[in-house]
Amino acid sequence: MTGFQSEFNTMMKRWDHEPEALTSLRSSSMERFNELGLPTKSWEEWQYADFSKIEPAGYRMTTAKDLPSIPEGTLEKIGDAHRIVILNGHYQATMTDLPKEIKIQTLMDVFQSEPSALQNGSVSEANPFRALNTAFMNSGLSVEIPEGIILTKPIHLLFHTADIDEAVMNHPRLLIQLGANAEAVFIEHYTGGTSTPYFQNCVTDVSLSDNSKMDHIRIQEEGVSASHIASTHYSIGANGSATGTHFVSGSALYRQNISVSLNGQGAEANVNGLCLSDQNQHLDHFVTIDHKKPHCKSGQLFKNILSDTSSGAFNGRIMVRPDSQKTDAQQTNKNLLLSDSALMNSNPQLEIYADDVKCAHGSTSGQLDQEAVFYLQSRGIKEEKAKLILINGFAGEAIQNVKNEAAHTYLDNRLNEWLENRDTNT
Amino acid sequence: MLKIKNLHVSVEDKEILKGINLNVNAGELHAIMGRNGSGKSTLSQVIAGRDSYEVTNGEILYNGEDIAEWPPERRALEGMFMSFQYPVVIPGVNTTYFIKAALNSKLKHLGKSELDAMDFLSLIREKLKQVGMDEKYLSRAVNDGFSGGEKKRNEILQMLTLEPSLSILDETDSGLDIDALKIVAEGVNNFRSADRSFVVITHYQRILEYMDIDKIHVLMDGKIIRSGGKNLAQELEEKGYSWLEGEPA
Repeated sequence: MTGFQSEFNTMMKRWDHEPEALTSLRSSSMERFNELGLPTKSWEEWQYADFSKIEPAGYRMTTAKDLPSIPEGTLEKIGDAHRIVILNGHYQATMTDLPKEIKIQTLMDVFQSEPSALQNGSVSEANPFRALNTAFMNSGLSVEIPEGIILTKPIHLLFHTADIDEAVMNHPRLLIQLGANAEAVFIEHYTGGTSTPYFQNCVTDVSLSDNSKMDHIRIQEEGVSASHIASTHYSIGANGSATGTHFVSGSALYRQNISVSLNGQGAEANVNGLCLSDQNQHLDHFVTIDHKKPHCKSGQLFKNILSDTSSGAFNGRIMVRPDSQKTDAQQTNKNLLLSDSALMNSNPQLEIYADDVKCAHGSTSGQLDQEAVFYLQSRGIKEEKAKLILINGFAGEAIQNVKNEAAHTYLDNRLNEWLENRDTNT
Repeated sequence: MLKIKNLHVSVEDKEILKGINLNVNAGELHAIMGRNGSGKSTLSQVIAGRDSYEVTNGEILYNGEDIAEWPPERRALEGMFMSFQYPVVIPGVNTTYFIKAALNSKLKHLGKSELDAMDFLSLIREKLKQVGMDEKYLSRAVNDGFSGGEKKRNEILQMLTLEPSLSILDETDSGLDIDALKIVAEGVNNFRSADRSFVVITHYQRILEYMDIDKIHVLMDGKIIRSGGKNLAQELEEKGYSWLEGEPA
């Protein structure tokens, strides 16, 4: 019996109060995961990351016993936001503050009112981590912004892991739904206050109704020994618009599958990413944008900055379906290697089946432009500072879509802290 | 102000400059003319401190001090400036931020207080007018999407802002139309003073028509083969560089 199966059996005994339909969904998803297994080097879409250490780590699900005692003030705050707090996999209703027009439900509520919302990830699921999430999903939440509601303050979903002395895992399942003409800013934020290994396996499904608009800022700052696997899906209706910014500096292993489905005419998605890696980190994005309808627009700008012996991967696929005329799709991947031992894999792909479209992609990887360093030096700026300015400028483009000022400042500060710890003299 | 003695410079073991001697006094404007490949840009890059060039012999003195060991930033802080032949595009770095960082670095070096955003803005607006540049360039990334002429004006803008004592203008005239050329030349002319020196490196004598030159040097195959007054430029224009070929250095 595999480690996950045995933990699954233990969990199912503990959670015997769940409705039959949910138990059966979990079991079929566990079966699906067992059929698929964890990705190996021979899986083309997963080849650059090493998942072999995940299962032998023997992660166990967190229980109520694992709830840390964290003084409220020590949790990260990002400006003036409505905050939803999940500590070691447990939703903290008392730390959560939401205006009453926003509907928040736990996983159990969702399953009872709308079981279909959780069905995906079952028998036909190709991504083993999504199947695993459906089998184990614990910190599940659904947040719904009803039709026509325009939120002025962002919603800050904070997943914090701390005070653990055993290898634990959590499988957060987030459903975010915006009704027609609704607008909101979501900050999905993972922080880790521990160097003990843990496994975070997240699924976030975002659904935007017609004319709705969402700015999604996802920040991953897990502990140094964590494995953070994620799958984020944006489903966008006619004239809806999603802006996603994925900022990643944490965890030893990170793999994020981002998929965007442009389902209605005039839908637009701009998804950017910035990965900062050092030591032996591996940070990996796999992005798929599916232009299902005509007159849709998508943009991607992903950047990795790699130092030490870290590695990264970017795989971006744009799919334009036969009827999706007037598609405008852009994809850019740029990587900056601060060390000779760092390694980046970039693989942009276009699959275009319509003829009247505008599509472009490009990828570059390289070291700091010495010509630019000299240019700044020749204006009286010290070499070290010149390099910091250049790296900052390089990174800044990837977070420029973050319009919320507090969130932008937060990311800027994190970037600068990361840079201060670098030896750029390579 | 600038004294170059028997300067030999190599790039990847190939000797480019083969014994340059040059003496530019305070307040003077010298022009160095030469064909492509004669070593003009190597000379400007070496003066600015580019480390990919190896000085194999000779020295460069700035205000009497040998600057061989000075990194590029020290040269700039001590009052040297080079206008780049090919100004570098720096995506993601805002022009205002860049010039302000450069100016504040210099003010700090001089023991003066740094400028805040408001003071800097009023200063830079005044300089922008002098080079005929629109304020919109300030909010763009450095040289990103700038035309050739805009890049060169941006170089002169930086010169006027940083107020160097010695300015090396490396082919600042190339890529400029006649109006832009006049603006650049006028910017330099207004900026001249008894304690500022200029070395204008150029391929063509066109820009020299708008400037009051003290001396012209002709560079060929890594050596200055002829020095003279303003009429030397006119002669070159009429007869071409081949006129001087075979001239002893």
